[in-house]
Amino acid sequence: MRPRPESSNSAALAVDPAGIPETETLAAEEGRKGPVLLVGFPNVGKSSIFNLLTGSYVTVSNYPGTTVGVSFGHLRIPAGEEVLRLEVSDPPGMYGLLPLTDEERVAREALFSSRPSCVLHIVDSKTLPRQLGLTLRLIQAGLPLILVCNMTDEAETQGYRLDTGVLAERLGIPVVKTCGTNGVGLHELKHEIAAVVRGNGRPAGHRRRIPFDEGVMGVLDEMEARIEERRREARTFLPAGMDSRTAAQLALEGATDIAAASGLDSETLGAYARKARDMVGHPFPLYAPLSLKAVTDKILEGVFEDPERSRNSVREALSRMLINPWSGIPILLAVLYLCFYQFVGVFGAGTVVGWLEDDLFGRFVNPFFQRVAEGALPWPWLQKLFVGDYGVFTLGITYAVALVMPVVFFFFLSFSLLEDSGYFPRLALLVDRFFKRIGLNGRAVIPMVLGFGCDTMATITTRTLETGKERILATLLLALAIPCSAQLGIIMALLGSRGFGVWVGYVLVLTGIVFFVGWAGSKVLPGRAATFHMELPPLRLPRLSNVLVKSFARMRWYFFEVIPLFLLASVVLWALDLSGGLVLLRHGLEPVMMLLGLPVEAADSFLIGFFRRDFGAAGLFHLAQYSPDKAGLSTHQLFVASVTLTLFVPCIAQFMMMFKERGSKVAASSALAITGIAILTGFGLHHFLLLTGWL
Amino acid sequence: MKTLAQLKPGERSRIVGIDPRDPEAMRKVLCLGIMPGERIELIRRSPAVVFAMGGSQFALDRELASCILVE
Repeated sequence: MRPRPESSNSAALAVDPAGIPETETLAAEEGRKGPVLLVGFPNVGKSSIFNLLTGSYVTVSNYPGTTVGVSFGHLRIPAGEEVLRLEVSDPPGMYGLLPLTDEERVAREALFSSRPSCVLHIVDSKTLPRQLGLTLRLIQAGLPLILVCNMTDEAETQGYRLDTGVLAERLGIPVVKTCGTNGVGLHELKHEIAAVVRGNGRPAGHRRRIPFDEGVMGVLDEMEARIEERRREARTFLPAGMDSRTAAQLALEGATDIAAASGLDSETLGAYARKARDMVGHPFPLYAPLSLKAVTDKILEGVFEDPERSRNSVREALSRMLINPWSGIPILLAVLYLCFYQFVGVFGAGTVVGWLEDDLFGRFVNPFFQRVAEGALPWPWLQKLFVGDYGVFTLGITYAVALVMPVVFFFFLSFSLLEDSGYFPRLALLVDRFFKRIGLNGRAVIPMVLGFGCDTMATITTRTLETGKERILATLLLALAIPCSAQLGIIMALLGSRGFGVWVGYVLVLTGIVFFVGWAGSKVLPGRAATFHMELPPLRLPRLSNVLVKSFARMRWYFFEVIPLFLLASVVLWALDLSGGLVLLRHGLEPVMMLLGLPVEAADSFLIGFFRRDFGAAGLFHLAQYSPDKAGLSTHQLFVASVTLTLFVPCIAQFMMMFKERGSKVAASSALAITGIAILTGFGLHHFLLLTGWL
Repeated sequence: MKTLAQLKPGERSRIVGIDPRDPEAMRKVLCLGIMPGERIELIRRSPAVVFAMGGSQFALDRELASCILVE
């Protein structure tokens, strides 16, 4: 819906209950050539709008903070004869212009540094009153804005009423109703985007000041003028796209980074803060959101109605069971058992791997490649590259496709299903207290659970944690004690065959290590875990199509990450084997294997494990069944090897990600700590078992 | 004065203020849109404080919940 033409619009505003005074009209040609930018609170469906607009796929889920980093895509809007081609960018969600986490900072930076040609503020229609404050801030910042009221299907069935026509008039910007899951409103949204981008005789944005008390307005005016002055003297480091008014307000609200960049010294700033405080009786950081709320309440008068609260009783009852520890913990154990043990472990790593590895690859694929290689390649050393013990086909492709892929896929399927149901935020609050003891808070549950799928992927999501301390600890624990799904699946299959008790022992030892290292790490590292906050989205029945698409998208990421490294690993191992380097390395690891009471051949698994963790476990799988003396590893050895291998250095991809995300100092010292802890634990465990004679 | 952390499960109340003594906590609570004037209903106090507010539900730890002053 379009606002009325500009002239009558301003007139309407003059008598409007909200009374946002218009101060300045921005010309369309202000150099806004950047992307169409999607902003909004976390979990309002930004990513699903992005997918609809661009036709590409980024992960959509029922968990705040799914988007890490910025996704880009392309949008084409046919407009008459020509086609408008635009770049669309989807930064992570943000609660406001005062970022709580690094990714919110990423989102704010995109707003003020990328010179967006159009900004879509996407809101959940059901909780519009809470989000409209951000809309006003974006209007004040002079951004070319469209308000997108999403999730209208849910809102309407629940009895919410929203008059977007009047809202558009009062705000002076286009307002569009959409539903990201079925595409309602998409056409209109595209139409509005085209209109905003091309100007269409309309200004690209109207800067309006948020109406605070007169006195406070005076303080802000003064600060704005000063910042403006500093800007002319090129003495600020503010992002070019951030107007001085927004900078002034954010500085006064306690955004230390903006304050520092504004060029105002802390003394001047302190004086302004005191002045504003004396005028209204509250500190400005409290006063500003409160006044904004008063303004948005007025704007929404007669426009927005929420229903008499009629909660879906079944859903609500289930939600309460999940957050009550007495029922929540048994449910958690049941979920772990069913989804991860039965579905991923027994079915994925057992049954499906059996079909693929023994039947498909063992009987057909590998013998075929063997025949081809032997027929086509006259030199045995070259044949070995493809079909030998470390051959590209017999080792690399077989492990990747037959062993790892099914396990990872079933994991991602379970994970996506749980994610879309809204289970994880509830799990986060359930484990918050436990996590605080290991220096994290409940929000770390997502990286930690995702780590059981792929630690490399999980290391990226540690960005969603608030403090540096939490990010370092989570990265360390992921690298040390969280086995990825492929590794876990194979270890589960290995240990499971030796009795359930062995498997329980493995879980207990690793849990103990997470607890101990997390606890010790939280004592050693300075700072403390951030306080815990989480919005609980409604429980939803996951849509199968979304779950599948998402699992495949994660699979694809994993595959492009994994296949090249698998092949590389095969080639490197082949070269090492051929040149005799492998014998040397194996020799080097011999004392370590002795310490752990393992046969020398187990060294292979540790070496290969560096290329992919799961790869190492797969090597162990091989060894357990077909070791040279045909006896395989004893249960004792297998147990020690499984624990040590899980703890041992992460795979090369994860290691690279640790460098990238945390820097060389943290990554290198983590690697050192991990090696020490792994060998010590293995050694201790070996001797403990010898002493007690348990296995 | 009573804080959100002191309400009993099932109890309804209204937020009357945010304790400004911990600016970081105040900022976080305000960012989420938890503000004076809002009606709330407490759902659980442990393991985290869970409450409903205008169609949404939030979980906060005791520390954050203690800066929210209620009637």
